[in-house]
Amino acid sequence: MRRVLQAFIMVITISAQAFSVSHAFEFKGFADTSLTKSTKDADSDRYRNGSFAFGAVDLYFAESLDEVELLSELIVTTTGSINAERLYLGYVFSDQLKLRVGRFHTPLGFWNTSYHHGKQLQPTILRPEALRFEFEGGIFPAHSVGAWVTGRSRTSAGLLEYGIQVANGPKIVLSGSNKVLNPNNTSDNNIGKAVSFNAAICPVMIEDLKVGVSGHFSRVKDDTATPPLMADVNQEIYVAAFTYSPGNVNLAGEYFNIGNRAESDKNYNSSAYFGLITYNLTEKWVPYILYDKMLINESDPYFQTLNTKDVTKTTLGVRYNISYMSSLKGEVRAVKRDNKDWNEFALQWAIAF
Amino acid sequence: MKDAKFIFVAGSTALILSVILCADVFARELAVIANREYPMNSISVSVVKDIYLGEKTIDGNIKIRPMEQRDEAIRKMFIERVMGSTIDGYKAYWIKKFFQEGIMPPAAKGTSSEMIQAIMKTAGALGYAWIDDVRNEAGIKVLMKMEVGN
Repeated sequence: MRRVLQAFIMVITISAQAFSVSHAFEFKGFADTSLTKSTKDADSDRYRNGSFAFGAVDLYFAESLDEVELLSELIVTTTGSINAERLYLGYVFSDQLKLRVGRFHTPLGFWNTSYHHGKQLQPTILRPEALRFEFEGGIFPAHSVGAWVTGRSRTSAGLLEYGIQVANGPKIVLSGSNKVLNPNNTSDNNIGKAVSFNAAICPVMIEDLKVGVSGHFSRVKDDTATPPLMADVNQEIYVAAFTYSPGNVNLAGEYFNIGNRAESDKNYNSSAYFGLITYNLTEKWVPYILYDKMLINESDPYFQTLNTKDVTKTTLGVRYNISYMSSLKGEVRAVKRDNKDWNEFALQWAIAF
Repeated sequence: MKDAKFIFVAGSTALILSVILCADVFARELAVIANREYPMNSISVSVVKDIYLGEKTIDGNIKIRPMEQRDEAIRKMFIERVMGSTIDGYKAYWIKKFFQEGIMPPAAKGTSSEMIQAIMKTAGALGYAWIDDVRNEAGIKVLMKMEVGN
């Protein structure tokens, strides 16, 4: 059945591509391949031998029919399965008011909605630690299924972006032997809905600056029935983010505060942040540095269930733009996770098509 | 010797001035044009930028349908002089914009005359062409003119 579904999705995708040639219909994609080597004291043997890997192939298309819009993004994963990454229908009342219903990238901070699977767009090879995807042991709901009212308005103070979202809250499920977050694609395992908000401004007074705040409130419950750790928390996530590009320098940073209230009414607080500096040496050469950190409260049942540990990571890299559609990136990373230190070396070739 | 020097300096100055003046005389005008029914009769550069960057998609109750040309010369002029970007920078911007928000990039038309015909037939359509190509076209209106050099 699964193979039939995959074949069906591929046929639809190929048909869509053929259709797009003769119609005002856009079909695009991303792909990447990488080589990563870690030093022998890394906490997993994933990269210890030096590993070539192809990343997910991202296929997305959109259609706009007057006020109605559709966006579909399919991911062909490294295991060969096809996942619906994003799929939404939208109704555009105006630029100031758009309603979208379906599955989205959760608008927490800027990175999650700006880059996601588009490695060619992403300034670095990897996402910051705090923004790992759910299935990779991520700590935030990177995806949401629900309704999202969003808009953009140019005011005398600057360009405002805003949105509010009501969605199924995430749950915790088993993935192999690990417990991971799951966005609850087709149902909700508790009555309370997750609510997110985002607001950002590009002020007129400071060109090329964008600052924003966002939040996510939900109940997250361990759905695995696998003792001993079974988190059931009311979660509040607050994010402050900025990007600033004076001249050839691009600065970006995000700060996350994660508050979890357990059934015992006990509150736990953890935080994470990253800072990124890229410098456009020329149009082709862009060196960068990324520093990211997670400070986890070890008593928090949510993080105990997800087995999340403190991480500090410094990444030095350089990007070479082959063209506007393709780039090579090389990185050296110094990683400290749960009191273990190691280094990683990585190369990535990314393309948009 | 002095006379020769004077003649050389005067001649050089005259040559430079004539080049500058001729460049001014022959600077081409680019027009931003729209369908006759378009709700506005004029437009500013900042609004044109917003439209061609996908930031403004609706004007009044009409969905704006921006179009661009495949002709490299005029397209380059428009992107560099009006949008303040490079061709590659503009293309990269649209890859990002389309991925992030699903907003469709401007539809590409082959030539000025193809674009003008498409604009005449399409409500909310907006595009650009050399002013000489649109002087006697009844089905469109000129919202903005801009000297863009040669």
